[in-house]
Amino acid sequence: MKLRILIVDDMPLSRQRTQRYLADVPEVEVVGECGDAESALEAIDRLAPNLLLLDVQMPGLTGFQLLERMPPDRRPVVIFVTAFAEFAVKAFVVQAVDYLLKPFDRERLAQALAKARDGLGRSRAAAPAPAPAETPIVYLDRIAVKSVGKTVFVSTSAIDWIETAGNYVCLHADKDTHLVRATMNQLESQLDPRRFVRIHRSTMVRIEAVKEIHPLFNGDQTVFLANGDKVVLSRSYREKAQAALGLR
Amino acid sequence: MLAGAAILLLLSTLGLAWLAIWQHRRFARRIAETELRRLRAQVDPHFLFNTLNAISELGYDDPESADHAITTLSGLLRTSLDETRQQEISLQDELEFLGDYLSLQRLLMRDDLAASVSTDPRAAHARVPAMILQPLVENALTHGRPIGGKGRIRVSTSRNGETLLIEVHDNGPGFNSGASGAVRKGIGIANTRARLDYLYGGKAVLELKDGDEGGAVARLTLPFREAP
Repeated sequence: MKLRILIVDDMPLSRQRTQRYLADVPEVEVVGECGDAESALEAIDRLAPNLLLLDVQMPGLTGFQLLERMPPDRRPVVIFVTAFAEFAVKAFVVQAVDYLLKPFDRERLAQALAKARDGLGRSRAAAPAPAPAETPIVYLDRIAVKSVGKTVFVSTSAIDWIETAGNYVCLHADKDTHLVRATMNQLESQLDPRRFVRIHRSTMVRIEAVKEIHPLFNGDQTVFLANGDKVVLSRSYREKAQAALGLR
Repeated sequence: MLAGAAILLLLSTLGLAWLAIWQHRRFARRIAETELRRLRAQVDPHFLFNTLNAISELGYDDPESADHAITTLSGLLRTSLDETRQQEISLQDELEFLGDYLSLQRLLMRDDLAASVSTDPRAAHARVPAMILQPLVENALTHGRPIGGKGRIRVSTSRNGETLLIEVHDNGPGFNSGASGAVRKGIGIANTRARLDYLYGGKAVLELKDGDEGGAVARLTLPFREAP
């Protein structure tokens, strides 16, 4: 998801530094910067950022007071950026996704942005499902595939792997491929995590179908499936995937 | 014989009493010294981190300013960390320290801050508590900047007979603007007052009030004493 960032910080050099670091990050747009909370409130209304990089101590309202003045449902995701270590607990209470202490480096900022993307992904996925917490989770054991004139049911135990294809996902099952209109994130949440694991932004595999794993040079790995297909396990999914595959 | 024993007893009692009083005095003095060291103003860690953050950015497109800022910051830290430093120094030295501090603050705020320091030549050799002004200026910078405008800090010193007067003016919202007014009289100001009490008894006064032409003023009145 693209991050639309508003920088709120009273120190010009500090804003400049944050801008410099953000310039190299893909899928990021800095929609504006403000030197105080009052003008930030106005800018949030006008520019609709989905992420605030927020200082605490500024002339006028503090960063926390700014958040108090916003309706919770319209509040962007928040990362605090400050020289004060002592507000971290308070930041936790107002559900900031991260807390950057000045000065910070590019890697630390990248980490915080990753958390923000996670946070945004969750709130978006949670929005259409009414009260997901109260209903017990039931995972799909077959997937309905609509095609011209008929609907085919594909058993999840027949699926070897799944890849994204534009607005569709492609189910590879028993030498057949089926197109289903869904996103990978939606499907991932509907499949039993004990049976399926995400190994790439665009790939998920059935754990039972995995035969071998071979390392590649850059930290990625090649996964060989029992049906002879091979897919890539990307570095960024390695930790989770390895746990699911029983490698640690 | 009996009289001799009585005298001996009396003498030893007096001796013990004297020892107790002497120890008590020594103890009280140590407490006062410790308290003074605790109250001694130091460079605020947030200021330090904010300055380092600014310097790291300056390094990219203004290395000369970054270089200069590191030298200035080092000087401030050296002074601030010096445990052997006198409790009181000359006003001239104090203002020099303040000038360095302000030049770094201007670096942090870039064009958003103007600062001036004016000195009465008759006051330059006055004795003042070391680093007494920096917390007052810091307070003005933290709370006394107008929203969305340029901050102005003005420090003036004057001598009036046996009295030394130091004022820190800002152009912010002043003390009577609700919440921020209450926040302003925080821990830094309380420490400064306690320190003045230790050093001068009741003879030093720190007043915080709204300025005649807007903003706020911190006014420090000290008995005039010549620096050594």
